[in-house]
Amino acid sequence: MLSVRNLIKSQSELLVKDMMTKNLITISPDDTMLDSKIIMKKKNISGIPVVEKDGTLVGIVSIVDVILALDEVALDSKVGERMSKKVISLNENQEVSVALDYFRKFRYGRLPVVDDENKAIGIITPNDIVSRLINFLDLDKVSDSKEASDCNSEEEIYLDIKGGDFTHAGGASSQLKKILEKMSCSKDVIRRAAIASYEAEMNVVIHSNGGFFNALILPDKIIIRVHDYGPGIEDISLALKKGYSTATDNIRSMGFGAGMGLPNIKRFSDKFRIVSSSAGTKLDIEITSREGK
Amino acid sequence: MEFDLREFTENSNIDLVNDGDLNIKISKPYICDLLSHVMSNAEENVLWITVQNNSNIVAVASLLNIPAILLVEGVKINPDVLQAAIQENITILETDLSAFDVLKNFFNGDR
Repeated sequence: MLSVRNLIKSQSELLVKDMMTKNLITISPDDTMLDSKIIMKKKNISGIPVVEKDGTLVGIVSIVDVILALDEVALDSKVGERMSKKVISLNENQEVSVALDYFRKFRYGRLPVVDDENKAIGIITPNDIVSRLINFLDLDKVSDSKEASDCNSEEEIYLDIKGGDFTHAGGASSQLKKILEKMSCSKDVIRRAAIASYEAEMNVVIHSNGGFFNALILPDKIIIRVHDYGPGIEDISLALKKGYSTATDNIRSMGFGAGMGLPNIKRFSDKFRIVSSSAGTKLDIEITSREGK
Repeated sequence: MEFDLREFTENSNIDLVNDGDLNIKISKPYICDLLSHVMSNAEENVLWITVQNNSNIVAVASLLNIPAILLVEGVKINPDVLQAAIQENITILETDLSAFDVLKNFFNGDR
């Protein structure tokens, strides 16, 4: 099997500057958040590197920052005040394999590229690497992917959940919470996502033969899918009643089995769907921002 | 009702097992042993008082931004729970008193 990673590793001369997009859209710290919003909409991108007049990279402003500014009716505030100053960038002379490691480690959809003087000279996305690598391999026939689909603030996590594993229980929801905090989502959204995902995760641990946890974070909502591989819920309407639980005494002694799991998920989510058969239970949850509603 | 976590730990009936961040203002105490009730009802920055003693209490506290857990009625924290608490930087306290007595003493100023 040809692995992209190994291929890249074998091509140690492949540098970030060979694969980045040089046509860089930037904004000044003195511009307003409204300017950011207009540029994002016009260029269909979800993040803009912030540079000084001399090109020095000083931050990055994301669609999440714009949404927060919108919520606070502060679109007239300066980009410099609201941007994220801890910006992770790549040097143009770094190897592409380093870029791949960064994407994996920091979970960003795009990274600005700077020269030795910290001047922003380009931007790179995983798609840039893949599409240029395909050119490199002389495998054309790949449709031109638009810059828009490259630059987004989407995040996705996928984790397996073991049935009966109380030691690692809560790990998936805790990972989701940390990502949401990093993306500066609103406190209310983080709290509700944490509660709903924890309850869903614990249901799999307590009641099932195992399953998976999948969360997709989009600019306007979080979609959480928690599916297990059985044995299923006998009576969903009973399970949705506060105080009803089928947990064993042993599980109750750990503080579970209050019969509040599904009612809590319902209460803290904005959309909630449950389907269950002996093959498994599928729980789909959506959390949207309630601010300004 | 608001009080300093550090001040609370200086109570002679309370053992400080893991420091966490003691420079925190606690909004109020919250007492419950059922995790889903805690999930649903505890606010952030409360002092959570419980007899539950498994690593799920750390997961719940961490998800809800609860900075400190007090185990009452002589419950001694399990080593694996303590390990998790150290990792998540959550203050762990123990007391032989009941939840009622420990709070009565504290708010009456009997330290």
